[in-house]
This record gives sequence, structure tokens and C-alpha cells, in this order.
Amino acid sequence: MSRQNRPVNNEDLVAFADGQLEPARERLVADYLHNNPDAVHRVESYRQQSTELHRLFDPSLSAPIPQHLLPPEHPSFGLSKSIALAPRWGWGWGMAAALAWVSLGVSMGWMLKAYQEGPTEQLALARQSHVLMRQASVAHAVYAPEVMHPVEVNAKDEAHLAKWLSKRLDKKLSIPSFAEHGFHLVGGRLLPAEPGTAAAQFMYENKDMQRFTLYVRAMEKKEADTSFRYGENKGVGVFYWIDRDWGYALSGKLDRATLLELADVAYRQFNL
Amino acid sequence: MNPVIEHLPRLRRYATALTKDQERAEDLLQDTLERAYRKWHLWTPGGSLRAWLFSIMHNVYMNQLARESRRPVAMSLDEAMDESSAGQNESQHATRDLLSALAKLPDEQREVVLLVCLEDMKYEEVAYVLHIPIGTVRSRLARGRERLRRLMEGLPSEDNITTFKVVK
Repeated sequence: MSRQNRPVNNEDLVAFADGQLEPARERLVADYLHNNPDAVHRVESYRQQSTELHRLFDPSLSAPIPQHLLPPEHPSFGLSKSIALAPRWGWGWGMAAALAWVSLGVSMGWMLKAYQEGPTEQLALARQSHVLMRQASVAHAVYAPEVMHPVEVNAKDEAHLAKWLSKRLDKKLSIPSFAEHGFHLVGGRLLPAEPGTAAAQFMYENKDMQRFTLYVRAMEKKEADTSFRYGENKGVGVFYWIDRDWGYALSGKLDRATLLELADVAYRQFNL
Repeated sequence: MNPVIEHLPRLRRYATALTKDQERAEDLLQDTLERAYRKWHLWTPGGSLRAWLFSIMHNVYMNQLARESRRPVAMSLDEAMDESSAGQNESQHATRDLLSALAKLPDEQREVVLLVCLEDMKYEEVAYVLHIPIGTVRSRLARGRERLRRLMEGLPSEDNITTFKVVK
């Protein structure tokens, strides 16, 4: 049955109450409401919920925002040295100015870095992210087809897996969930990366037994956060990115759009 | 003027409704802003800054929940209610009902309900903020609001299930 013709259901009533139905469907629901007082009552209740929530929480919109919510001396805010020297800001223009400083500091920082580092450093950075891509794709190619032992620690011990790998990588790892995208965790394993460096691999699978893996490791050279890059190695597609001193790669024999979507989900969850 | 500033009151309203606790709301807002400024260079102008900021708040909130590994407590709910509805006797009853009903929703439904009903977001925007497909937004929202309605009207909730068998 097409979306247009299916019977009116509760999702329609809710979307009708929110004014978020497409026009054709909205007319259909409006007709339906003529003969269904119970549905009318529902729509009214749903609208009432929005009204009540606004009445309840809108007062917080006009309350002044406390100054301490943006402490400039907070270490994680130290994008630029100049910030640490800035006096405690007030809100409004003071904060606007401070934010402008942050943006400026970041872009100037990058320009300076590129200038100072020169071509050798740039090459080394490019090399290390290429290595990340290659390692991740190889690890995927080795373990993803495995039937008996795809992972060392099974998903049913997820809490243990997260704890163990966090300890071995010396980084608090929360294992991303892709349940909303139809993939469940199979489990994970520890892998060697460089001498003295370990990597973690998490494997996910959907109901069609398609798998992708997520690879995480520390990077040797600090690099400015990168956007997603894409590479392929023997049919395995990899989206990879670097966030501060950590490298992430999502690999699979899936189409590029799907991989990108999954990588985006992973990126956001790792950035919790 | 930096564009983030105009979104702060709304971010705080959402944080307040999510956590139902002034102090936790401010912690959530603070953590969100710190993250947003650290990731500032990743925001692409032209996109929806509001959705981007709310998406960060969602991530931070999920993380806080996981860390505390506990659900919001009913106690703090009542306190928040007493504060916000003081002197409004006429609607006090409805307020209490709505707040306690809201507290009974699963986190995932409460977030969708608040983003749509309180933040007036389009479903597409909610899908972006919560990193879920739009179909999931629709079904969670419908389930959450029907549950709220039933709780507030003192109806049993099993009808929910049959309603949603029709949907899928």
C-alpha cells in the first residue's frame, strides 16, 4: 500500500497536530476527523501537550544565563593561547568578542602550523593517515569474512570489551551503537598497530550478514582534526578521520554512501 | 555577534526540560558549549547551527546518562515542578500530571517529544539531531505522545501496542 493510501494511523494524527503532514495527507486526515470524534480528541490532547510544555519551560528562556557557564580558564577551551590570557568575560558583546578570538585563533593556528611545519612534516602526516587507512582495511579483510572467530570478545560481553580495550589503548572507549541503522555489534578485538601501540577493532553486522568494522588507534604525530577521507584497498572501502591524536577508520564492502553515513554516526558517538 | 549566542536560551530550555533540574541543566549546557567551541571548525556555515548545537547536546546528554547509569529521578522532577508552577494553582494539577507523565517516558521518546513539542522542530531536523531515520522520529513521537495522553487521562496503555501494529 502506498503511503498516500494507507489508513489513517496515530502517526498521522500526531503529525496533523504538529502541522507536519504533507498537504495531500493532511486533507485526508482532516476528512477522517469529521467522522471520528475520538481522533479529534486525540489531536486536541496532542496539541495541548505542546502548549503545556511551552507554558512549563518557556520561563527559562528569559532567565539570565550565568556567567560561569563559559569559564575561559577551562582547559578544554584552550584552543588558542590568547584565550587563557583573556579576562573573565561577561555575556553579550564580551562573549561575542571572545568567540571571534577563538575562531581567529584556530584559523591562525592552522596557518602558522602549516607554515612552520613545511613540506616534510606535511608528508609525514599524509603518510600516517594513509597507514591508518591501510591497517584498517587489512584488518577488515582478515577478520570480516571469519565465520568461527570473527572477534575475540563477543558482544554479549560488551561492557567487558569496552573496559578491556579502553585499558589497552589507554583511552576511554564507548562502543558506538548502529542499531538505528540496522547493524548490531558482533564484538571486538585487540590488534597490533605499531611497535608499542595497539589498535581496537569493533565489528558490526546487519540481518543480511553484511559486516563493517571500526578501527581505532593512537596516532604518532599530532595532527589538526581532519574531515572524513575515503580510500579503497582491494575492494574494501574505508572512511577515516583523525580527531586530535586518535585515528578512526570505518571499513566495509558496502556502498560508499552507506559507509559515509555509518562513519558519520560513528564520528558523532566517538565525540561524546 | 557570534551566531551561537542566540541559541543559548533555547539550548538551556531544552536542557532544563531534559534534566528537570537547574543544576544538571547548567552542567549539560556548559559541557555542550565547551564541546561546541572545541568542534567549532567542524561546523559548516550554511547548515543549521541550531540543529548542530542540539545534536551536540544530545550526544553530551546521552554520555552523561551512560556515565551516571541512572535515570532521572522522580524527586528532582517534583522540585522543578514546584518551582516553575508556584502561584499557578489553576493549572498546577495539569502541570504535575504532565511532568510526572513525561518522567515515565523512555529517554528516547522524551527527547523526540521535547524537540518537537517544545523546540518546535521539523521532523527532519529531529532526525538529524538524534542521528536516527525520520521514520523512527515519527514512530517514537507517536508512541511517546500517545503514552503521555494515556498517562494524563488515566487510561491503560496497552492500546498503544495495537495502534502501532497498524503502522508498520
